[in-house]
Amino acid sequence: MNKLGPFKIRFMPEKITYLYLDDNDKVTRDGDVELFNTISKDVEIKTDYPSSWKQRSKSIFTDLNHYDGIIIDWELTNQSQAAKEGSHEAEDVDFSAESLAEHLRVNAAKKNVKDIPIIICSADKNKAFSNLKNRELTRRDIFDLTYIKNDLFVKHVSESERQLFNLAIVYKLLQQSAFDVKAALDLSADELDFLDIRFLDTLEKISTTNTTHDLVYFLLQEFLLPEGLLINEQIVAARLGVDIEKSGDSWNKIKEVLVEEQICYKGLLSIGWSTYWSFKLVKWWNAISDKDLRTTSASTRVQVLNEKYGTTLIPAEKIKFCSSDEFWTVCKGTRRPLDPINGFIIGDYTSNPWLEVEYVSAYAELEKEDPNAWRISAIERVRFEKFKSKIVKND
Amino acid sequence: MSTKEELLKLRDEINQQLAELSNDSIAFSVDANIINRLGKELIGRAETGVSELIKNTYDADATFVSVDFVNSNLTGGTLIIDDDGHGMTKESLIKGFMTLSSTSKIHEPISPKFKRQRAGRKGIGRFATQFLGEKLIIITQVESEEFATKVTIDWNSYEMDKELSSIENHIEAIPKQKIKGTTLYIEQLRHSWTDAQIRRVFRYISDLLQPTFLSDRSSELNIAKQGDESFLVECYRTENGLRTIIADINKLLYEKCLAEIDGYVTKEGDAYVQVKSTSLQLNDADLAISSSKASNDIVQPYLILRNVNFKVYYFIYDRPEYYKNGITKQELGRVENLASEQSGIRVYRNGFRVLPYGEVGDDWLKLDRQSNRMQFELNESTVSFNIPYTNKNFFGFVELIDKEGDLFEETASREGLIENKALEELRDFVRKAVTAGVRRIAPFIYNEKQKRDQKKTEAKTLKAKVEGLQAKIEEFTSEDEQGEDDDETDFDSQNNQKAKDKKKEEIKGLLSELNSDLKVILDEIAMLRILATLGITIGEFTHEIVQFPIFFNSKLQSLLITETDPQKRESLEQVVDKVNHLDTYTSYFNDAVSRNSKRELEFIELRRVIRPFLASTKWDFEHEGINVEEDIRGYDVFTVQMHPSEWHSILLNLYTNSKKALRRAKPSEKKIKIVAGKDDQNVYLEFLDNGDGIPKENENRIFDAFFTTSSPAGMNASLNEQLIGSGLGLKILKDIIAEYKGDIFVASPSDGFNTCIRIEIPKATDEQIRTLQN
Amino acid sequence: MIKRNDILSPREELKNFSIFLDQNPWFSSISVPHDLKKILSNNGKIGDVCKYSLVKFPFKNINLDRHVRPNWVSRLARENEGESRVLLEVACECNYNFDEDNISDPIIMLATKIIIQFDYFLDSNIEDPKTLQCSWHLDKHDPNKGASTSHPLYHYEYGGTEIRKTEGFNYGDFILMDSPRIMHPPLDLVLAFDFVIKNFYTYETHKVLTDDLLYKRYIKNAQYRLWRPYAISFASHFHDFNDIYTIDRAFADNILHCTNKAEIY
Repeated sequence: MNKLGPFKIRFMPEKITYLYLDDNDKVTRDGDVELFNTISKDVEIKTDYPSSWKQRSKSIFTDLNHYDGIIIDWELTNQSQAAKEGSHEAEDVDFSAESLAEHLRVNAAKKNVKDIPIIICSADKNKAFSNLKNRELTRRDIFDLTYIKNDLFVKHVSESERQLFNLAIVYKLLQQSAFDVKAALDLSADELDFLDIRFLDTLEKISTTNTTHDLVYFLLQEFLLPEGLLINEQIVAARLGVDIEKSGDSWNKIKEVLVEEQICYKGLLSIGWSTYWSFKLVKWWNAISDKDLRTTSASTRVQVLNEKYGTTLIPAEKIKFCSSDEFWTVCKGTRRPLDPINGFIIGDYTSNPWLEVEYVSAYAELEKEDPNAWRISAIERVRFEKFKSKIVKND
Repeated sequence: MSTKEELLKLRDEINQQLAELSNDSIAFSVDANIINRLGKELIGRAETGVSELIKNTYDADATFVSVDFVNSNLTGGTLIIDDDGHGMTKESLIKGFMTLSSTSKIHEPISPKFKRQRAGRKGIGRFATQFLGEKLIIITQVESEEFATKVTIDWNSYEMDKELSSIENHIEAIPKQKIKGTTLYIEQLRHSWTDAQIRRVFRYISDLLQPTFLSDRSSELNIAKQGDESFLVECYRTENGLRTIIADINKLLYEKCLAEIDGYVTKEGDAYVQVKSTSLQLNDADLAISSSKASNDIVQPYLILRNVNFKVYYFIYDRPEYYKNGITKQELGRVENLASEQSGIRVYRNGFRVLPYGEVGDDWLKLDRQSNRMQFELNESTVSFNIPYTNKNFFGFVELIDKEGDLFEETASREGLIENKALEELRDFVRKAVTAGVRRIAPFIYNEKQKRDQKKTEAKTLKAKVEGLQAKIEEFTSEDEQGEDDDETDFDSQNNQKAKDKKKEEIKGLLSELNSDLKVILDEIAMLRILATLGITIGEFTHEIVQFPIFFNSKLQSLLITETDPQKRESLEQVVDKVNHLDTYTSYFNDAVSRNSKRELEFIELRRVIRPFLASTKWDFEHEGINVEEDIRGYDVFTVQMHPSEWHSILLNLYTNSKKALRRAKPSEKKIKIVAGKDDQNVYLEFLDNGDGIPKENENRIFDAFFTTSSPAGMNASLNEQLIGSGLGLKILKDIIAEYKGDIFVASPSDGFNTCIRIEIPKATDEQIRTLQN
Repeated sequence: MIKRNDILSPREELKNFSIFLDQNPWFSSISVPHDLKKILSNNGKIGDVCKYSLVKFPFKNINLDRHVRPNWVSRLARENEGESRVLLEVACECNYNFDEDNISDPIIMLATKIIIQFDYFLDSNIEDPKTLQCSWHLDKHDPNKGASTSHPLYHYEYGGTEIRKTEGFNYGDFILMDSPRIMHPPLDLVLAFDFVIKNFYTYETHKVLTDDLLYKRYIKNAQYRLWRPYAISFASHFHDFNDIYTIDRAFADNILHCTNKAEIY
């Protein structure tokens, strides 16, 4: 299959199947996943009632012979009779999603069972679940993904389908073959030199000593998703100084160029998540222009691209109160292009050295609706207060 | 012996001998004491005396008269009345002044120069001077002569047992003091004159003359008016050489009355009344007054009464808020003070005051005796209402134009008019007209009172009432203990008992007030309980409901993918659309429920409640076709600590009301705007819409429990229908906001909007905001 | 003649220096030490050549007020009218000669740029602040490139070319010209940091870092690596060091005055 790129796997199932455990009745469960199953050619979700711990904790080992991944509803509290109908033993659900996941991980580490992607979902958007999503409350590597049910099965079903598929495939691959960093990252030996050595070091260490789910977690959470060696489309646009929305089709053209120039990441998990190599972006830019990308204004960058590719890209606009249009990242609050010198550091800054510090613009911080969405780091607090007082004074 | 003395003695002897000779005829002789009697006994009061003297100057075509009280703090002072009239020649002095009951005025009823109607008719004014002081000096001069005439009269010399004409008064010619005019020096005043007394005199004098603001008609007839150009009287006091003027400032106050009642009777006897008020915005057409007592609609004119005008200024005291003309509390208080001496409806005849009508204590219209209760129609129901209208509330002037004295006649003592049919009709007319005027005003006052009462009851919270009751009971019980003193006298114990009884009454009153409050509260609680149950039900089922849209969407969209038939596709798409609509409401409920579960108080930044609210209700705005705008001014718009979920109630409630208003008004473009910001004390939020607006009279009432303009649900209406428009929404808001010591009220909307509801909540301090962010 | 044996290669020094800075809370408050880590992402492959390029490295919360200001000047950029910062750019390629008696230029390429920026609110239009800036370059002249005027190998020059045109900016008394080049010892990353910190922060604020013995050692080491060869070569024009050191003549000559390559022997 083309979409797997250079990987070859010994045994490729006809279809990836996921087991979905939900305490609703069968009609509801199956109805919930129907759209997903309809649109997916590669993944099928089969549903089941969780039943009791006694039951499930044992049966799961054999279950996983037939499944490549598992999705668990976070709220397993329903005790309705209707739900129990059709399941082998009509017992109450007496365990939590976390305990089942833990159980699986522990046993995977012991090699009692294969390691598989564990997805958790919830219909409710309440705070406790959000905390779970932000991994503030639970251990980090139990779940691969957390989803709002509506997003998983309806709203972003095409994306989630790709992600579930990719996760399952990657888990299989990693358990079947030895880990080769060049293949995993889809980079040549020379290109590897451009990567932070500490990253490669850590990657190697985890791939050899840790479990598959640790490795997948690392790849997803410390490599793919955050801004660092890989960057997403929005950051690419920011670094190229482009306003995606206003540029319309021209932006699509540039994305094609990026594909052609092989700036896209094509390694593990690239099917589910689309990202670009930051070093390759700079290299490509240096090939088409003698200006230093970091210190060039957005309008100049766009001008260079338009001239080179005959596009009609529109340069991105500064966020309110920002002075510089030498964008390099995006504001965590507004998701709009931001020059770090205008930003305020959020979160902790002891993340891995190959990852970028995250910033938020003053405007986003002032207009913040959810006080817990992010937190300006303590060390930047004073600077922000000073800045705020200047704004408030002059307003 | 001088020639004069000799002659006088001779006269006496001749008289005596004549008397002895003629024993079949006898003539009257006049005892000198008649002067005393005429003076002291006919002049009731000093004011009357001085007024007669003024009338004389008026009759003498004076334009300016000064009345000066000199060193009159104690008895023995001097009163100087100086005028610039035509003065008297020696002859006219003798014929006029020195001849009692002279006929000159009868012969000449019109003043030569200004054609004035003679004011002082009875001619005993001169003896007023006797009443006022022991000595009189007259200095008078006419223009045409070169010298003045001075007469000195010592009233003490007019004793009993002396023949009147035998008493001599010194008369001499002296150099002219001025071109023309008379000066009276009344010396050795028999009374002491305080400032208040002088002021009273002055007012009396001023009031003698009909105020200018009465009728145009009287100017046509050349009846006396108080005007600079015709006749000005000024009053002074001179003490140790220092002269001070006694000013009168009262006229201006009349203009600030609550209402002006004008009435008149035409020369055909038709009677009308009219009410004018800037405060109450009244200026309507004349109302006919019927002379008959019949309550049918036929208006009967008066049989005798003709040519009467009156103007009455009406005041209600202690309620400056009723007045919209800017009268201050102090000014109203001053009017009230004035009322104790000057209120009442006075009568003026031919330009001069007729006593005692309208004097304090005189109730010629029988206003004080009647009940103040008025019934009138308000909003299709009959309201019975107490409105003050006693003499104290009126400053009125009745003008009788009666040149020939046909209708009315003054009594000899100048105290009142002779009771005749005309007077009876006059009384009837004025009384009816004034009553009709007040009845016209009453509904407005009633409304104002309602507003005021509402504010009053609101102001007195339940808590305050209970505390008040507690205090009263404590007072009562402690006094009760105190009251058991052995050395209490009978009188004391009576007083104490009275006080105790009064307290008992007060306590009873408070208890019954609290009782009725309690009833209202219980009603409210009952309703709230129903609403709460509804809320709990929603909360319980929300979790279940939230699952459904996922199922629907998943199923439907799958069907859509595989369905090729265009009709079926369309059908499915419609269902999908509706499901999404449903989903917005279920997510909304879900948000609301999770939000309400937070119990802790937080400092609320308004952005953080307004924007989520707008986001979650967006579908509803679009569905209703409402354009919603947000304008949040500045940053750190933090309130004091509140429950965040309450803001949701607030916004939802305001939105619901606006939605209804917009539905009713149906403007071409439905608009809602939310404005938020902060000032020195508070954080504010304004909710504006261009719906059908709130009528001014409802502005306070909308926050009352159970007030609603929604049509009441029918008998068979579901609980749901009954609850919507239950009228508790805004009351709940008000309670919530009051808890935080904030305020909610109807404000004036900015351009393009018809309703603005403004909420003010105290803001968090800078210190608190700082600690929040660290 | 102080010989130092404890100095590590530039790469090592840089790595240790950046770790040290990362752990200093004051430095974290004025800059982003995390970004420093990135430039050391790769181990050196070719000998001991250390190559790095630091771009737009921010120094925040700078203190602009410390310098002398004539009292007739009323408007100088003041803290409360906008936000100021220094941006440091250092592109450097250098090696290290462990033989201390062999004096040569350790730097292959150097371009250090110190940019001072001031964002201010024009006409109270706070939504769109304008940036004013000026910059100082400390470059190593490339002898291969000719020059219209001759200048020292390492020179400092004031760059006015990056002041953006703003409305209302008074160019009146400002001389825009090709500015003179002033001789100055080279500044690599370590020394450039030190330069910025000591010039743009008050002693009271920076002493928590600069008084640290470890910090002082890093600076001293960098000075030793870069300034010692420079100083000795420079001094060699006025004193004969031939029996002590072997001095690269090209280097020594160019320090004073850089001419065309052809003339160098």
